[in-house]
Amino acid sequence: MTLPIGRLVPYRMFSGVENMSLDHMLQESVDQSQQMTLRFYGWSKPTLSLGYFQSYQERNSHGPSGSVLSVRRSTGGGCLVHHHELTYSLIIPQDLGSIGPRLDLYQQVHHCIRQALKYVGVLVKPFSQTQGGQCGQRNCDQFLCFQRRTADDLILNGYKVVGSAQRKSRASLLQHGSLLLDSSQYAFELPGVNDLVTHSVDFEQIMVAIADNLADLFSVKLREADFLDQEIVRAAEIADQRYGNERWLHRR
Amino acid sequence: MSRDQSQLVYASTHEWADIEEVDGVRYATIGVSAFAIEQLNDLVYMDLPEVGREVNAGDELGEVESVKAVSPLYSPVTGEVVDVHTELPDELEKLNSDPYDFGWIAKIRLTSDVDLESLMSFEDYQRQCSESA
Repeated sequence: MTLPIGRLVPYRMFSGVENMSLDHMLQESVDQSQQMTLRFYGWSKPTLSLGYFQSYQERNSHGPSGSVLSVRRSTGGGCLVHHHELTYSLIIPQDLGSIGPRLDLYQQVHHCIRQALKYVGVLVKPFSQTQGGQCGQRNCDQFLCFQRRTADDLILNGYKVVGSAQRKSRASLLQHGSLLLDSSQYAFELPGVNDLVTHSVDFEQIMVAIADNLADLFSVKLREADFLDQEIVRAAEIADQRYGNERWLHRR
Repeated sequence: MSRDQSQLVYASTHEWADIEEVDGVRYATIGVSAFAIEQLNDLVYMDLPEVGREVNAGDELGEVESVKAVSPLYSPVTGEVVDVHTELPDELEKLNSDPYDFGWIAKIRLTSDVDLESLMSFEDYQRQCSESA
């Protein structure tokens, strides 16, 4: 049987505004093409990202990240300090009639990441399977997303190391999320995987394993395809109108 | 007076519309169905449209967030937003128990009837929900 082709955008580092604009552009693209798309990326400068509905003023409550650049995401949840992390975005076709969060997608994608981490000897658990999860300690009032907990967040030695958020459009669903690799001086209260294990971890291997697991999950063959020139142009337009625009950043 | 959900019309995107005529002008009061509210699961934020905004059927009317997911709400009709339920975003928990009265989101003065024909009856909408459940 021939599997449908999914798109894999290879790992590159961009600024926060570029990363959010590229994810937005890819979601527009999947709305049209209906082709499952996976992207991995890093952050060329430490960046604080606010959840779509968060107030800009809230960032003042977190001193250590006060000097870093900021961007407002299109997805929900709390604030993240992106520095030493591996970020993924996954965009899948979705019917217009579907509504609300795809809890199953959080669960399935995080399971793929969990298996990939296990492959390199890092054993994480969904929050719902930890002692805190069973007591319902979700810390919803915390400013930093990685200090909050939802059922499918991945936990290592009591610390959240993987979390994700979603955005639905007319014909697709974007889910992006972060795997914390190392702690940052701008959010030193949050250790990364390297701070919590005693052996060195190969993140190239993790990326490949996540991509393989997701390809199996969605029954697609992933084909690597970097950004086209016209996609970069469209992402720059989106950056002007939205993610790089002060009105967007300060809208709440 | 409480709204009878069997008398409302529905969009495939789960918004309900209560159509009424006042002094020869037609209005639609818009909300989100009980089925959709259950699917949305623990709503924490809602954005309302601005009064005076012109919308076409199918345009985004507002946005909601639940479990870190942002989802758009769509207008089922074409017209001008003349009123919005400003208390609703601060009392989203009431949506679960009262989606058809307290849960109204906006009132729209219709400028076209064309899109009304594509809206579903309660029975057809129930069928859509049971197929997608």
